[in-house]
Amino acid sequence: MTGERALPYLLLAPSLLFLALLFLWPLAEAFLVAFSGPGGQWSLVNFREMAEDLNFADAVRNTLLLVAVVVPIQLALALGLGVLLGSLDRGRDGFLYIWTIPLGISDLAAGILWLAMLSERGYLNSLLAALGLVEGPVLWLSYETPLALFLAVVVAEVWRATAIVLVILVAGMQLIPKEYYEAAEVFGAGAFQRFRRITLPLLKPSIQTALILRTILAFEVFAVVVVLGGRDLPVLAGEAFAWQYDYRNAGVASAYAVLILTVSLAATWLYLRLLRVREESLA
Amino acid sequence: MARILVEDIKKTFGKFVALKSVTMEVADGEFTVLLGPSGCGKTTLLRIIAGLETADRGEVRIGERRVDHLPPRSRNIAMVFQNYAVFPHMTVFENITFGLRMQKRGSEEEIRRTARWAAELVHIESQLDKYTGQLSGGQRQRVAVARALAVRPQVLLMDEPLSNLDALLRLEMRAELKTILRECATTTIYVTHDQVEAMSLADRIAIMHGGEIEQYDTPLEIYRNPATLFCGGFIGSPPMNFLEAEAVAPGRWRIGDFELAGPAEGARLLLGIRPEDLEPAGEGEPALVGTVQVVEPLGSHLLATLRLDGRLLRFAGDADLPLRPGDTLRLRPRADRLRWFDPESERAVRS
Ligand SMILES: Nc1ncnc2c1ncn2[C@@H]1O[C@H](COP(=O)(O)OP(=O)(O)OP(=O)(O)O)[C@@H](O)[C@H]1O
Ligand SMILES: [Mg+2]
Repeated sequence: MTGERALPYLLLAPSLLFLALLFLWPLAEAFLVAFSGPGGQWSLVNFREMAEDLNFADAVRNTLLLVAVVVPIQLALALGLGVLLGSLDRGRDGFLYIWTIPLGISDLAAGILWLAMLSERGYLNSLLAALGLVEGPVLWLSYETPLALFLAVVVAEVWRATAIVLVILVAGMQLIPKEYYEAAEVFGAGAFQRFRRITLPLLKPSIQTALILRTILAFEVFAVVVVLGGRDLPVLAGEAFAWQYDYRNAGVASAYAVLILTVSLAATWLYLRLLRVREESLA
Repeated sequence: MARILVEDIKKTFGKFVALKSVTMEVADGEFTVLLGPSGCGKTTLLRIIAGLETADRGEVRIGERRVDHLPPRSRNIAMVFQNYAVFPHMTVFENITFGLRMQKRGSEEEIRRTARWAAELVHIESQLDKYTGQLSGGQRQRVAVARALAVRPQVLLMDEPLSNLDALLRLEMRAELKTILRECATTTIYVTHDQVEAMSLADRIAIMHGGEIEQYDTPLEIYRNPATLFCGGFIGSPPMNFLEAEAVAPGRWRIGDFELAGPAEGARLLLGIRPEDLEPAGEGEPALVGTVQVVEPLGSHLLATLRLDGRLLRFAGDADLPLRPGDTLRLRPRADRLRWFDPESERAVRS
């Protein structure tokens, strides 16, 4: 009897160990480094240094803005595409495969791809010149055009990572029984009402999962930004990288890491609260 | 005015023909019951009328309007689904008021009043604030009925709406449904497996079999004059007896040693006779002679199964008849209740 009860724990143990070794330990290490002063004593000096840095305010603002712009766009796009896919009789899987291709590309490669399009001698400038809309090559991705740079990052991120939201939402939508839509339609609900009264509430768990996943990843946005803008568009993860490898200051880099973790946890907690699904309403 | 007219509807799923050619008219305010075995196409027909399924051919009219190309919500109908389809993320109250809110019918106060009225009809008024996931199957089914009644539709389609209720509640709700729908003059199509339910509710019954309507008539007429072998065998419990008869002369037929008058045409026919239309025959009278196999005293009457030339014959007689297994019984069919069927076409033959 006791053996039977212990079995699940035994089976889970290796993965737990794995997680502890590769995740919890480095995490604890990062915390230690972030909160220790030059002499090794407990101190907030790293955080002070981080906050007093010129780029810090920009990095916080840019990261938050990116999350605030990219995640809602992705959610809206994925919802729209998901509903469209749901109304297809056939070919749904084909479309889904095509849209998920960007998922298979690393974010660095994605950044380089967009760089090729948006750089001075890129496709966009060639196209605009061919159409006679611009005189010569325009510099889109520089610190002098922060808005264009920001938009470029938004576009690249949306292109790259909307598919994961789409996949999660489509999987969720397929779990909603067809009868609910039929009943709603018989009782007078139009397409929008069916979306609002049936799809959205029943899709809540999937939306929650997708939002948490995407938001956490968006707080860590790094490679795409670095490729497109270097440090012209400072973001939190980029600053952590710069402090670690350019300034050789592991303390401040760890402080950034702790900050990112805290913000991500806060966002997750918020989603869990706001999108709570009443247990009794799950049939 | 909302009569329903279904004309020459055909429906296939891939190669499978679910409905062959269905034609049916339900008069304004009439209560029609669709009765048939599982898989005969009842739900499919209902869904086509509702607009949830598209027919391969044929037309549907509600009122004077042709509705084939209208979406369900433009057809002025309400429906009780076979699998209920009550919304799990809404409370009972929200479910019942769903149709009224979608169609923006009435003030908040009126909507509340209607919801309460509908909930009381199906005895679910104490559960209004519960989520439907917390309800039993029978309670959910009643929510589905209340949701449909609440919109006071001109046309009500119900797919086995009482199938999950206990016998007593079913009896009670059956009576209430009949009263309300008559008062509101709602044109109703009601699907059921249960022939007692069909007989007690229907103005007319449509007997479906294998994707076709075999007979569409009043309950009594279907009982007395089944149009096909299937109808005779499906309606009535126990079902009609069928006995093979041979022609001996034009208009004279023989079953074993028993001779009787019948149709002028044909060489072989089946005689259909209901168990209660057999009477004990007097001594010396010509009769069907059988050996009693099983006796079932049912209180109101007595049911006996006889063996007759290798065939089984059911007889319903007076509860006081002193019958025991092994007895020989002589029976005479009531002459005015004889029904004749052609074994080839399986259809009734006029005598
Ligand atoms: N969507 C579908 N795809 C394929 N076949 C279907 C579909 N819907 C129904 N059928 C078939 O059509 C036939 C009729 O089905 P229908 O649901 O109308 O039967 P029913 O008379 O309502 O049966 P029951 O009394 O069991 O509910 C069945 O043989 C069923 O397998
Ligand atoms: Mg059915």
